[in-house]
Amino acid sequence: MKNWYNKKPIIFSLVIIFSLVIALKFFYIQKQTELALLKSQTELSKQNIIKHRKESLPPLNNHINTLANTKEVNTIAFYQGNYYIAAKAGLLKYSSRGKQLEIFNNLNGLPENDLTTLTVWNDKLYIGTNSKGLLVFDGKEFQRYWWPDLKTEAITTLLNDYGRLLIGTFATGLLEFDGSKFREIKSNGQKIKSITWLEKQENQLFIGTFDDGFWVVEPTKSEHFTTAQGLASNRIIGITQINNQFIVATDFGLSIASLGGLNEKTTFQTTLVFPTLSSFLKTKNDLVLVKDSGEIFQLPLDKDIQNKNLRLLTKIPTTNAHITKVENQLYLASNSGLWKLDNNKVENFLANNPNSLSANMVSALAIDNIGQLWVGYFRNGIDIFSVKGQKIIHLENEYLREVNHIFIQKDNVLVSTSQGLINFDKKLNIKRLSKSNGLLNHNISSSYLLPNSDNLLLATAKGLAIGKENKFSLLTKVQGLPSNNTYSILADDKSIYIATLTGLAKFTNGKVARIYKDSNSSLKANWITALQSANNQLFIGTYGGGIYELLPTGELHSFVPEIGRLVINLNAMFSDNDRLYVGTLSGLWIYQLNNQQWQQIKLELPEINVLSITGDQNSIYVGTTNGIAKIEKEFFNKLNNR
Amino acid sequence: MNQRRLYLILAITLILACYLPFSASFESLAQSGVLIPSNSNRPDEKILSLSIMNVDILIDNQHARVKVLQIFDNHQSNILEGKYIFALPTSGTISDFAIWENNTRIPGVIMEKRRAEAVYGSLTNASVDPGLLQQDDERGGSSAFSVKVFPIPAYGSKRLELEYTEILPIEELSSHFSFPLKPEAGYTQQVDQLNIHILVLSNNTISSTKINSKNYKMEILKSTANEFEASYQASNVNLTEDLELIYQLNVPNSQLNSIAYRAPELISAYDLRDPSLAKPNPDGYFQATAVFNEQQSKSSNSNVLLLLDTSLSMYGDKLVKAIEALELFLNSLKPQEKFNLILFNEATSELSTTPLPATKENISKAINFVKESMLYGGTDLEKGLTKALELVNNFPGESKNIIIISDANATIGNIQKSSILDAFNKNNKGEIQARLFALGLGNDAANNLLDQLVKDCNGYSISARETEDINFSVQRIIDKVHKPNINSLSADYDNNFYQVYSINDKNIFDQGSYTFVGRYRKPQLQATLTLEGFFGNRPINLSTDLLLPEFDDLHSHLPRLWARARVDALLREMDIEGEREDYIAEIIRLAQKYKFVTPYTSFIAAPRALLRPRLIQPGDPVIRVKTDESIKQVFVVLPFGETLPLTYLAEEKIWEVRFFAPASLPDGVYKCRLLMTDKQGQGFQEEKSFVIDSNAPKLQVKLASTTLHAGDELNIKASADKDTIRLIAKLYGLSPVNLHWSAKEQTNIGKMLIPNDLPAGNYTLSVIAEDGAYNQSSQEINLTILPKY
Repeated sequence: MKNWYNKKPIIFSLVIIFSLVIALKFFYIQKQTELALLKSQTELSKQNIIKHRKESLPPLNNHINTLANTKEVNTIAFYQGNYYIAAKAGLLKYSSRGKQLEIFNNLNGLPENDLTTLTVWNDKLYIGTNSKGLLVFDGKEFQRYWWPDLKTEAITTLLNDYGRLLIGTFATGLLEFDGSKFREIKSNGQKIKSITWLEKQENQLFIGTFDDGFWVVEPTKSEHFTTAQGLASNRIIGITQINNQFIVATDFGLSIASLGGLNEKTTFQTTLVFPTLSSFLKTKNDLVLVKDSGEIFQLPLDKDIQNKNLRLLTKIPTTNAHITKVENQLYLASNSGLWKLDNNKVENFLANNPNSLSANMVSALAIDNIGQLWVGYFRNGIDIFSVKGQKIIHLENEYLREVNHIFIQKDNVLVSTSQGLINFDKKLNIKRLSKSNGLLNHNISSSYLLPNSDNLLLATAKGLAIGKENKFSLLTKVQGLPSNNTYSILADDKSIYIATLTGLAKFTNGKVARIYKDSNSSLKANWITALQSANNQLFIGTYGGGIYELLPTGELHSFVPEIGRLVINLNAMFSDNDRLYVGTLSGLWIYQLNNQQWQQIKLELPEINVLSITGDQNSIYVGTTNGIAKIEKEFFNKLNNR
Repeated sequence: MNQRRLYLILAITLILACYLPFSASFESLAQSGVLIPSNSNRPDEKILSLSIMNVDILIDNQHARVKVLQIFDNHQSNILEGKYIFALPTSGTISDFAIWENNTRIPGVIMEKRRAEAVYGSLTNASVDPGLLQQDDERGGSSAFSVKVFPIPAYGSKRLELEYTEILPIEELSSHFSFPLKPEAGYTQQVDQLNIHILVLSNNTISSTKINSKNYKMEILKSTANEFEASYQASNVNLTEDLELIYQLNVPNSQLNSIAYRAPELISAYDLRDPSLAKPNPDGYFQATAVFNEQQSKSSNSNVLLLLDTSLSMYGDKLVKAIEALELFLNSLKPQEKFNLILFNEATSELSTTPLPATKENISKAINFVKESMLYGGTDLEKGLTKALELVNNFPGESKNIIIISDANATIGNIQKSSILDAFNKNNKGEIQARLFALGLGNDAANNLLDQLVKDCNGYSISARETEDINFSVQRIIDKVHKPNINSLSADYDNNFYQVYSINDKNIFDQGSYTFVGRYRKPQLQATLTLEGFFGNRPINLSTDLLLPEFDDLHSHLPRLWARARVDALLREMDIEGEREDYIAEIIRLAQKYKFVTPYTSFIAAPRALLRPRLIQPGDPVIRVKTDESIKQVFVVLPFGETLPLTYLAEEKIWEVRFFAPASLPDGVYKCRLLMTDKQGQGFQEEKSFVIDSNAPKLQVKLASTTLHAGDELNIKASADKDTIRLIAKLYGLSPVNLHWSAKEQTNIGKMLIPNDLPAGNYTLSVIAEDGAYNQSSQEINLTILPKY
């Protein structure tokens, strides 16, 4: 024992030395790993190789339906005996005879519904998305490729270049995929941005862009052409060759240059001014030119490329029209459908769904007193659906277009639009209030009817209008509002709360009694975008400052520490008195009123930017920039129990 | 007047065709008035020769008006067509043009481009060849005018008249005027009879007036303290050099002088204006010019980094002048000053990684370094500037000056002017900001870019043609490198004056000048104008008493000078606030009346499309466009990849579409393109810009004390983001106080006088910052007010 006690310092020293050795070893291993990683990254970067991740995509659970407009179509491809159509609402599968078989969307596990482009390569269907990378489908399963080091934005075009797949993106450059790795193709070391079009001719790769002309990339050199070389505009629609000329199609017309190699001395001459040209195709005898509005023109190849030689073939009233050829058949894809073009005949390809949404950007939602769903669109009027989901009517005209808000009254529905207030009675007769009725401004953000009163409150960009038809008074900065830009209104027994650009105003007994701002409250942002009452509680949404609750003491309680500084969209709050639902740029947030817990959902939505919310006893309708998610309340119950 | 002549009158228009390609061969021969046969790409005296050239120059208190008359002879037996080209000095603006047909003078007319093109098109279709005057981007800094001239009678002559104006800056108490006579590219022009007349008038005493042109021996007709007159007549003159006039101003101390003009508006018989628009008794005009001479006793030592462009675009006379300039700069340095030298083209190459003393040996080494290098490749301007900013930080002390000698035409790497400018400003935000001085060489120099580069760093830029004497320009830079700037100038005047604008757009240095113009309502025997500012930290306070006459038509250039300043001010305001129809109408009216090109008579592609508002307000992402009634379709191409058709709202007569900016789009200025089709199916495109700003400005308020007595003055200091346009302080019971930027204190300041009778107690001071998009932030500070002492 005595000996042991004497040896204690030695043992202690040995332990120290041993620990040091271990620590050094650990440090050495870590350093070696870092060096190896750095070396690997350096090697990769020298070859422009882009790191990627691949993941399988499992389907989501039940209790959710997606309502969308499936007619906003981008392109079509033929794969494994069927037609696949990339649409804003997902991937549509049609039989070779034109029968709709299936729709794949986020509920099947797709990371995004907005699909931009398709191509078949290596026996698989490759699908470009608007912001979530590249999908690959083998007929059964979807997988996703994405690039963690890159800010993934729209994949705009795909090209089957036999041994490789070329991927054009809007901001991430031009990528090449050989089946196992991705590499970026640059021009003279420069990233090629905003790519919209790709074509390969022999050893020349033509790369058209949205706003920077086009590149011709060859193995040992590349050339760049823009309006400086005489192009009609820098937005390239396509390139082709006819006889001895290069024809470059831009959104403002066709420019030609003589063949003999495109080099730094090449200049173009615009011979055909053709604004809004959106696509073109060379057939055996003609050039087919398509305008964005769906007008299809023909220019014979044996005639000069001039306006006088154009012939209008047909016109399909639409927007974002572009032509494509699949299996020797011409198709016109657009925002209002897909058509087959055959010898000047036009045939609708897509199945007609009379109950489809009229558009996908859903800016306002409400359920009226008989259970009908009112859907207001960002640019396309309104739809009204019956309780069973059948579309009763679509309404859209010069002033009933840009819908901001829908307010359900006892006998009326008030639709706030950018062109005034539209008042619907039970029979859907319309009365419009605008400047001619005493309003100072057409653009109504939201409306509200005071309880026990027939005085209307209208939030406009020039103040809060209070009154009735032809008799409105205006509450503005002069009277104490923090700003004339008003967005949302809520009233209780005593006061009216007004959401403005620079604070929340409380209006009591005919005057502005209090203003809440970042300088005198817990608000982190002054732009108040939404107000919602729930169980006698008042909730406030802001643009970039998160969510607050107005307490009975008159103070604001901030939810920022729990869920952060969210961006709440205009009037995107709803409550069924069990929960508060908040629409943000990053999905739907749900606040359980009983246990004060917050939850967020994203994947279940067709798009994470939530613009509007409403609900009935059974379901919550979440309007996004790409359709509506109809979510049964059972889903939220299960969410709560996780 | 026959119909054909009427067509010619209508058709000879001044339009801006900024997108029309300009033949390289024409550009290289552009100087003063050559007439090139249409079947050739260069002048040919055997076909068309210059018979007579009269040049009449009037310089009235720094405002130069130059009238040029040229008569060309056709030596062929057939009627000819030709192209007349005239290269304006870079600061010149054309004010009149006319072609004579027999004995009839047919003047040019400023028109909106749409009408001009319609007229031109219809005449071309009718096989009548009109004269069409086109101008390059005037605001871009280079101006070459060309006009198609037809018919030139067989064995006959053609008479052409052109008038332009320019403001001559005063620098180092001297003024320099240059008239381009010598062609570039090795061609010489001979004139049978050359007549030149110069008259200089100045309220400031002038002296040492000399004409630095050896080939034109001017006869001095008058030379007094305030007037100089000379003339020259000769036959068979070879135009081998430019005409250069230099004079000194005797201004012992900084002073402010003024002139005025008031007379009924004249109606020219050749004007196509509505005569009823001319006012018989319009308000008067004035011009006040401050010439600074703060008499800094000695120049401070300055360190200089020279950045020389050695790309292929500097080939020929440019490189010769560049090396000449470089040697002048180097030899002006004192041995105790430090310097360095970077050559740049596609890459950069520096003389030394550390600054060198400006000894004779080092200077010699630097010159050899240049002479041993070769011209190579394209111009990577951003790379050159970045390297310069990197190496200039090695200079000791606070003196960090970069002098760039280049044509500044970037062809490699980043070629976008705005992003080159942004990168430079961003990289020049160190503890001590480097000053940039630029010598833009050549007719094709990107002077606009150089002007912008120097502006925010208290620098200076000057341009020089390859054919000019470089000494004057170099000396100007040398003098300024050693001096601080004149800054924070503001004019004060009573409310008889209105619409007063500065016409300076460059940084001001000692021994330079600052001019402002305006209007006055009532004649007065004596009115006072004052000007305050700082020379470094030293305050400047100048004043002048001027007579506001009821009638004085001596200085007839003042209305046009004021009109140009008014138009520039309206354009600046629209840049921030968005286009306004009434402003555009006024710009067009002034431009047509006084004959100068503007974006709305020049740049805009017909038909005119008005984008409003330019600043997209939060929650209201709408693009509204007002167009001519002939437009039937409008389409917008947005920068984030979206394209949208606009809907016509008949009630408001406006096109409109709502768009959804991507969430990831940061605040900033964006460009969109409008594609329009009219009822005839003709297409037009225009580029417009809009601003997205959804963030309130950051605000920080500082008070010296939060406890004050009634009767005290409360000094408020506040810092806010750059996009803040309004800063207001509010206190209960008092009028709101606007805060203004103080260059001296480098912050926004305002003063609030606490009333003597304000009851003691606790009060809340609110300071509110608002930006152009109406985003607001505020800060509240509690104050304790005690009773008066």
